[in-house]
Amino acid sequence: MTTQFDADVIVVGSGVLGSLTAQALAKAGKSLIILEAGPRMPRWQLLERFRNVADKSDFNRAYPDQPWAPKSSGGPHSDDYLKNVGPLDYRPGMLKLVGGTTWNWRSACWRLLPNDMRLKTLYGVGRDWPIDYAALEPWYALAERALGVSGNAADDQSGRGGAAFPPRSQDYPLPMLPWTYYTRTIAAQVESAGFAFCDEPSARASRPYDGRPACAGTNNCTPICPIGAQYSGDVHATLAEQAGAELRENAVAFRLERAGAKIVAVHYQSPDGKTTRLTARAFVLAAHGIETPKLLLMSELANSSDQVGRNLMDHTGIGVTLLAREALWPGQGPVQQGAMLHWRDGEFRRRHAAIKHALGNAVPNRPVAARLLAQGVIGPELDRRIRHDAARTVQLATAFEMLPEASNRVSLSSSKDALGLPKPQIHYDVNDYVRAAAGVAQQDHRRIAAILQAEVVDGDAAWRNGDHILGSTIMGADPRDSVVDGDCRTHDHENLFLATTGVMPAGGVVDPTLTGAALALRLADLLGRSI
Amino acid sequence: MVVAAAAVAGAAAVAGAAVGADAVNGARAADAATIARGRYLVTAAHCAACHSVDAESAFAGGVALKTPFGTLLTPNITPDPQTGIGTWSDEQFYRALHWGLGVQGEHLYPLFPYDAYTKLRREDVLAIKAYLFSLPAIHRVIPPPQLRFPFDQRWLLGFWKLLNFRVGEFQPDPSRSADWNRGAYLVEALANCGACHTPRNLTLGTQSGAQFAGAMVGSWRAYNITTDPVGGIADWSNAELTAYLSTGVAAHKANAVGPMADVVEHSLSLLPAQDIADIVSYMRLVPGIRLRTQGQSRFSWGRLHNPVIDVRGNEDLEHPTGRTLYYGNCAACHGGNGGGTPDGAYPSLVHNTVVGASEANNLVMTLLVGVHRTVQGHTVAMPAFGAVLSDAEIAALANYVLNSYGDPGIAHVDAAIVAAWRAEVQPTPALITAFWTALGAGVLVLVGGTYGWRRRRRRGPGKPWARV
Repeated sequence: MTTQFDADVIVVGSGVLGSLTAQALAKAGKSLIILEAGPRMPRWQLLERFRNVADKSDFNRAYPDQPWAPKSSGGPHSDDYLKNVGPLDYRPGMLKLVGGTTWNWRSACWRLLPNDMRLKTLYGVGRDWPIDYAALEPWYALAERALGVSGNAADDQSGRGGAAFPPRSQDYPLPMLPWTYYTRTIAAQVESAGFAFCDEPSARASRPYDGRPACAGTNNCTPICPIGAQYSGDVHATLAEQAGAELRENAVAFRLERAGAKIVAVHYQSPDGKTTRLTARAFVLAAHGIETPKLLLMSELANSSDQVGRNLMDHTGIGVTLLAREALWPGQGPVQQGAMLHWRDGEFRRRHAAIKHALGNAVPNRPVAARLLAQGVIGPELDRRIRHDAARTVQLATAFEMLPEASNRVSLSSSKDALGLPKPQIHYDVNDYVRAAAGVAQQDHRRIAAILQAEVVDGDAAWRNGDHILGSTIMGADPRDSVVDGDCRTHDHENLFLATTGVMPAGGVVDPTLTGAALALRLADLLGRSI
Repeated sequence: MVVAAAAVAGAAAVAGAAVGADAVNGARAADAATIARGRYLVTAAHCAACHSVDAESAFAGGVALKTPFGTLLTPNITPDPQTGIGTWSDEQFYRALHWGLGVQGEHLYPLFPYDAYTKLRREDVLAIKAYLFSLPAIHRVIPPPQLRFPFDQRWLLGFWKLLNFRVGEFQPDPSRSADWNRGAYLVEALANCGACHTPRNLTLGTQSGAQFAGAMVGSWRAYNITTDPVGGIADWSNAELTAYLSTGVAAHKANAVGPMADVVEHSLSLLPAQDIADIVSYMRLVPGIRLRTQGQSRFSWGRLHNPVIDVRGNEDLEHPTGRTLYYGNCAACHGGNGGGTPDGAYPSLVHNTVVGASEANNLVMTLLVGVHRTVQGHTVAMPAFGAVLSDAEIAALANYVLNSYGDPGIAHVDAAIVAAWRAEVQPTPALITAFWTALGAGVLVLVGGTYGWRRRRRRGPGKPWARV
């Protein structure tokens, strides 16, 4: 090869998926450049920013808000960034800094079920994956080791309360975190009434792991783990750098350049407007499920199927807040420890979406106080009621599986950001498949309230984002209706790969990061052996 | 002399443990009891600290010991005949430990602490050999030491021995208790506490009259463990000493970090309770010494102090003070007031022997490299901040902690000191280099008959050059 390249591989995005890809390739001896739109910021600084923020309900506020690197909300440069034009306001978590959006997550690390990847074949809805669970399984195991996942391999994660499922070749690298009194008590009560309750595997270290301390139970998983017990993408950004990758901060990729069917260069802007062109043998876009399709659309690439940006899905859901009769003491330990998954898989998926009820365990004092103040409770009575209600508050976050629809999409807005680049325009709605599931879920909510002898204090069924961006650069076997193949390689360009949960054509009803990580490691392996 | 982290193969309780396979060395087979005794002795002496890079290559050497004179790789002591000690006779093995002499009769560098092992009983030395010979032979070539002149001149070590080495097995003191005598054997001959805790003299021998008075180990401080009430351990209860030695934690007082955490994990925590009790008995009667200016004992400094009200909204995160760094990096576990958690799982920084020490070394080193200590299957870990914080930030943080919870009189850490400790650069004191250079040159001039002397020495130990 006579052509000189700036790197073997350029990865756009330093979040968990980009950094995992970069680290694996750098370890395999490839030269790597990682472009990160945002700045680098140490944990202590983010933590202190959060502590200094007045409104603790705004989980995005503490993260950098740069004109050239807008996040999904939480600052003057970001609040007007995502241009929603559809019935629902879709504003998933998106941070721009080294390490990406997993700085602020709950770190649930579920695997998909084999059936989640065969939705069309089994239930006649949605799309099948072009690869099956068996192809992904070894990469799930590696992803669990990379992220340091604590979990219970004996659980039936299909929600039926049966034998261990789905199949796994290796145990979790870390034992499950012990359940708190709140989780134990509620699990026992719902199980005695016939609901299976399942531990939620999470990337919170239950033992010291890879330089991370064990979870100390600060109940501050979001917006930031104060001690780094919970995995965040900066772990692998740092490991990638230690393996030789060059990480360029504040480098906003805005165009991919092609020659024939191959991508030859990426162009990025610096905050001062200066542009830089970098060449490589291969390119990996790992720029989040919203920004990755935006970059492809801006570059007019990989879109012969017209599917780039379409099929946008999430686990849009509803919530319910209960006030139990006995004190259950939420707020000890991590913000979420388990879920009810009895609607995870079955013939019902022909008719309505799969459902997950996650049991929230965040310290509820702030929302409790806000509710009481709104009711006019003040003075010593307010103190008493906060103590009383906070000890008895039970929060359920219910999520639904969505199906890919061409009309749910990311496109380019005519509105421009500070660098003159188009803002993402989003059209988003939920269909009857999801609405039918919401009715089923609300029946569950009433049953669970009865089991806990609780009253419903907030049954507001407003749709909530799940922050799980799926489908926006959809994977499929057929280049005519999908963007990438089963290896995350774009159908149109043999040296362009996508490491984002946006490739997932079906996401079941579980948090997609671990699946994205498994796909990224698999992609890195294939790419590393081909260049 | 950096003690690298290492693992004892199969680190279970070792005392009296049965060893299955008979070991065969030539025609002589060691019995299982001897091998078990050897395994116990090897654990008590923590041989793996210097001779094992990891559990997979136990005792195959190759651990880099940084010294002021250059770096030494420790030898392979597995029974591999080519690269290990597989061809050594009992006599050769005993000579190494008892006389500090190699197979060729050459002086061994005293980084191998034969000044302690000379006190081992012969049957114990041979039990150690029997155990080592029962282990798998590992073929690993260890390059010879690369020390700079004059330290590469092994014959000079003869003079080191003249000055610093007293050959002879341990002699029990009949005027003392049996506990004390067993403790003495453990402390002086096996565990060799003085290797780290006794300061060195100009010739790098242990300083006479200063036994256990505290010394440097790389960038770490091995504290004064004499019975001095201020500098030492007089005010520690027997229960505290026992807990510290066997678990690494004396509740609400001390937590083993750095090389001591390694010693607890891989050696002391694996010894029988009686051994720890004997060590405590012995240490209780060590004369008290106070070498440095120690105004009050290490665990008496500090008071709970939480300025969080002044902090919120008043921080310059681009130019952080030590206080800001404390809140961002430390307070989540150690508390905004430095008090840790009531159960001590996250230690209090108040009345803490590392924070309250008269030198900032162990505080700074703990910040840089963290803590990782596994005892009885339970791991205690503190993250390392060396990759997150700059030298100046570590210095500012250390000074804040010292001012708030330690001895404010030593809160003068600066970036240069942190950088030096981080690099584990121990500049050879000029005096020591000068001494050895002068000694080398002087000897060359004055002692013409070196060659003949070395030949005589090769005939074996027991000659009058070494004062027995």
